[in-house]
Amino acid sequence: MPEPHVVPLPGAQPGHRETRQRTDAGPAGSDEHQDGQAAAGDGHPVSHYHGEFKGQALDLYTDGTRWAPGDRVDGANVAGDKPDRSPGDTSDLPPSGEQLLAMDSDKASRAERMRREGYRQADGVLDIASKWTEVGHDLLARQPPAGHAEVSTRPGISAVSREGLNPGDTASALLVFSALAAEAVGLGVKNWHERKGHRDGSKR
Amino acid sequence: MAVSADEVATLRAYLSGNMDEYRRMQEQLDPVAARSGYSALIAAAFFEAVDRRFTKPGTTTADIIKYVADVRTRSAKVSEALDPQAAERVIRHALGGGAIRDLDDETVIGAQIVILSALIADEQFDDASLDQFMSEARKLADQWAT
Repeated sequence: MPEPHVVPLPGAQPGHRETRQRTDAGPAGSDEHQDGQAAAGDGHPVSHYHGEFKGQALDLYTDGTRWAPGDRVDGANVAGDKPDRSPGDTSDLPPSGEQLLAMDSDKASRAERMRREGYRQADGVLDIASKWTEVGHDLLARQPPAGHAEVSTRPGISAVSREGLNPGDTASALLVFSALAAEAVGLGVKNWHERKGHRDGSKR
Repeated sequence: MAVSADEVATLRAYLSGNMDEYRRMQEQLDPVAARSGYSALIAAAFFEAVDRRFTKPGTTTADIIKYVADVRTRSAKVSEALDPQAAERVIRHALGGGAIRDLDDETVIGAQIVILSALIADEQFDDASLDQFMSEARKLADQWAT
């Protein structure tokens, strides 16, 4: 491995150890670098510099006219690691400062249009307002549509009636009681006949 | 001429549904001052209410048409009196589209009042929210009227 070529960083303070070191070896795994240089798309040779700045390792690439950091690779994903959304998708974020300014600007321009055409300085504005508030009052007096009816999924529980027995309930109760009593009497008579028959048979 | 406190209180009384108070207060307004102040307040309140309702992302012209149709179904009086096309145009204009120069004063102000009524009913403001809304409307109206 050749010795690194050390040159001062632009803007480095005298006496600081902030330097960049030029290596002629390419980064590990790079097939394009030959002696620290590769051809860029426009034919310029690309040089790779490795160095340190305030204790941080730096990888820099240049074709002589432009510099690019070597700490990321544009447009590449880790294998099998698909982004879950587009980088430009900001739909779940609040409006940015620029968007808020644009919205305010839009509202201001609409307000100005409104002032010019929608703001009518009518001599009879009070008469017009009296007439149309009588029409619009219907809308304020009623409840707005709720969107959809709320349907309860709970079992219906009705309040206990605090009233006394009414004639209808009394009649129903008497009818049920009469029917049950008649049935009970019938069963009793039948049972009595069966027992009597048994006794008569046993005597025979 | 700036919007007066009486004009603000009058429109607020109407929008809160207190018609008796509204009628009483409106009779006491100065017709000359109302020409600029009260007109500006109605237009500004309408503008603010439309801005709240229709500037949400995804709102389309079809939403405006549907809304006006819905408002007309809420009241026979409104259905009979409100010109739906004029109402749609007045809303679209407040949103930055079209022109309404050809509409006369009564058509514009009438549509503003009716649509404002519907929008405020939909908002279901409490007293504090209605006060806040009136404050914003007054601020804008003052810019226009002075």
